[in-house]
Amino acid sequence: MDEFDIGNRKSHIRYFKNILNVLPQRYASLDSQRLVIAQFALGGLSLLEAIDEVKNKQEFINWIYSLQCPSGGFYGSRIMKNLPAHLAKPHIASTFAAVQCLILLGDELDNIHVPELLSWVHSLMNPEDGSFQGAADGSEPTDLRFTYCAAFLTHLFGADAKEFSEDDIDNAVSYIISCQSPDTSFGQVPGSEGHGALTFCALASLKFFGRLHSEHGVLSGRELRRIVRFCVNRQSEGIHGRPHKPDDTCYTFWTCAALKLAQPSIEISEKLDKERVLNFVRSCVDENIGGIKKLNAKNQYADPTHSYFALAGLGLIFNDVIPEYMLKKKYIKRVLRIRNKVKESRLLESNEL
Amino acid sequence: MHGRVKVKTSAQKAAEKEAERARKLQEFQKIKKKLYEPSESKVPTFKQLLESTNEFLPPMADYLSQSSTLAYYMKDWPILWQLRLTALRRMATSKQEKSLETLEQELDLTFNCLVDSPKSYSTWAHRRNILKLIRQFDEEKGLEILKTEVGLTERMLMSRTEDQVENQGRNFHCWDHRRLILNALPQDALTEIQLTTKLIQTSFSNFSAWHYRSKLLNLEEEGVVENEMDLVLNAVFTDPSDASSWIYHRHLISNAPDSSTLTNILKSHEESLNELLELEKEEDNNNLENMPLAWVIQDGLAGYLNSLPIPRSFADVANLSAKDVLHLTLFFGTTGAGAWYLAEKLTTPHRQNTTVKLGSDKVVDTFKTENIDGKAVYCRCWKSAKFPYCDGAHNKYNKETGDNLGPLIIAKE
Repeated sequence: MDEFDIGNRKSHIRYFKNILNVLPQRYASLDSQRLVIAQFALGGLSLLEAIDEVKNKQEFINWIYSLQCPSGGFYGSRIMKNLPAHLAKPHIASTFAAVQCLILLGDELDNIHVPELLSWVHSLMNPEDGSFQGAADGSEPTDLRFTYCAAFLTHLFGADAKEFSEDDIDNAVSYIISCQSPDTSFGQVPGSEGHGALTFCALASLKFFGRLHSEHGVLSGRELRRIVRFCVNRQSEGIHGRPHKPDDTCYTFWTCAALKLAQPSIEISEKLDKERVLNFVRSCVDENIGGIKKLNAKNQYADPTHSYFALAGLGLIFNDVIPEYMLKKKYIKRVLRIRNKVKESRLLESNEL
Repeated sequence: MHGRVKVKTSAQKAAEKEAERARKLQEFQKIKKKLYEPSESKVPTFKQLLESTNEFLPPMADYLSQSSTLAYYMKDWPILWQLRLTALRRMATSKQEKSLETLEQELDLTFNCLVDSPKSYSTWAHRRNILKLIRQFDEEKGLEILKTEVGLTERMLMSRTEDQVENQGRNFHCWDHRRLILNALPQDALTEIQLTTKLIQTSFSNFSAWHYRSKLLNLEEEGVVENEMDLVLNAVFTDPSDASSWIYHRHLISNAPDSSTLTNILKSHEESLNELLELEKEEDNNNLENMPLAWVIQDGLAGYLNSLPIPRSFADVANLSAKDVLHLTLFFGTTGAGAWYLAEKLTTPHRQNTTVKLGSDKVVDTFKTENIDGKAVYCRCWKSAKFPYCDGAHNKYNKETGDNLGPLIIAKE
């Protein structure tokens, strides 16, 4: 792993720890997605090699498990769980965040109700077009980000043919392809313009479904090269997500991860100028409260999303993060071990006499 | 004592803080009470609505208007919008009083929320649900509102709000919303194409507009490819550093049907683009890597402006050397003279007649109506070669200036 340093390491650690304690009033409207914010904070700490600064890990683990729904999935926060039964619905992004947090906190994921979770994920898929809802209440339109969360979960917990058949995978993949824009990058819904973050979601989902760089791959060599060109053209100083948009620190992760997934054999630093990216991120560091801002503007504050993704992006460029898992390399061994363990125990269960 | 500012002691400050906190607590408890505890009026509380089933049908209009501030602050909380949608649906299906008015107020509420957060997923989704509900309640009114909605999305895409760091022309929520609205109305590709033209002409770097345009145009249709090639070459010459136009150019090359016209166009493009490259290189003395024309102009001009020895304070004026004074006089003199000339040119009214009997003091033509044979057509644009009679010169003039002048026709019965 190569080293990178954007300065103020201590203040960034303090920033993430503060987020874990109290959410500033500015973020009150995100109360329904506390788990996602927790993932950004814990993820940020792990990228700074400071996860052990969280002294009460078991408390966090208990809190996360308390948000698990018995019929599968995780609620975004306690208030979502305590709503009346017909309104309380677990959300796929919160479930993704819950699993990520548990991995980062050292939990072995033993207390997750796997069969319920997988059948719930399956129930969120629309059979007509293969897209995924965020939650069973249909409160948000479908989009590719939810497909990515679903792909991650079904891959990690080893969904078998009963829970997620080949037809289902083909259906989901056909939706991903329908989101492809003419310049071969991917948009949010069919017809949208290509977008760096959604291109990452598409490629990572295809990887988890086994349809990228495999014998069943659905993207041609030419398309993958065009995607690489799309990603490379997104650097001015820092990196942005769509042509002619201003640089934005969170795209450091999204666009570079899409690039790495499209062409895994090359180093990102061969295609992008990593010094310029580093300097851009450094210029967006919030000197006052720690964390990283979206843009290098005076009237902006740091926020958890951009702080986390900027660090994840730098980790990726400097070779320490696996793009489709969004995790540092050192967690992957454990993730694969958990995956095998879940697979085995479910195999045993199904063969029990 | 006179003129002394009263400085509060720390004890006083602490007391004031305490009083403010107590006031805020009272305020909060009042709001909480309103939401949770039943009042004398029949207005349902938040809690009652939350736990109720479809049979619970008190008048919803007052509840919705009273809790709109809460909605504004919690606009990213999908549950809140859902609850309001439940109340609105029950109100509409049971045809309660003030239904339409309340629905339109909900549109106003989401409008204010979107001005504040133009990228809030749940607000956009809720607004679409309301539009659907209005149409279910009153088809005619619903269609009318949908048509207005299309105009609103156009205004948003063309706008630049001061608080936002970017303009809204790239807001894909707005583009998607517009597309979904248009799906519900009779199709009109021409208006959409015109919108993209408007956006592109305002700013060639609006990639969202180029992208949308690429989906609307049929490159097989006659004349389309030539027109688009023209437009995009214009764009790359205007700002060679912008990726959007190059990407659209590549799209045209990949997707236009093969023809000798296309080959000829591309040959001429090759020539023009080589010229452009030479131009770019020259500007930077053949040292050009990535610097586009526009940046060079900006840098050059900025550099000159920075070099002006403008004194920073009155004291500095005395310190100006003779050379500085000359420099400043030259600069202000030239800009002053230029500004004066422009101001004069813009404020003096122009003469209309530039072709007819320029030697005479006043051009007057008189005709007797009995002498007119059937019909007479007189020039009113002053460009006719057969003045005072019309020869159609107004057509060319109107095309050039966008004016709408026409002849005077006197016809006998």
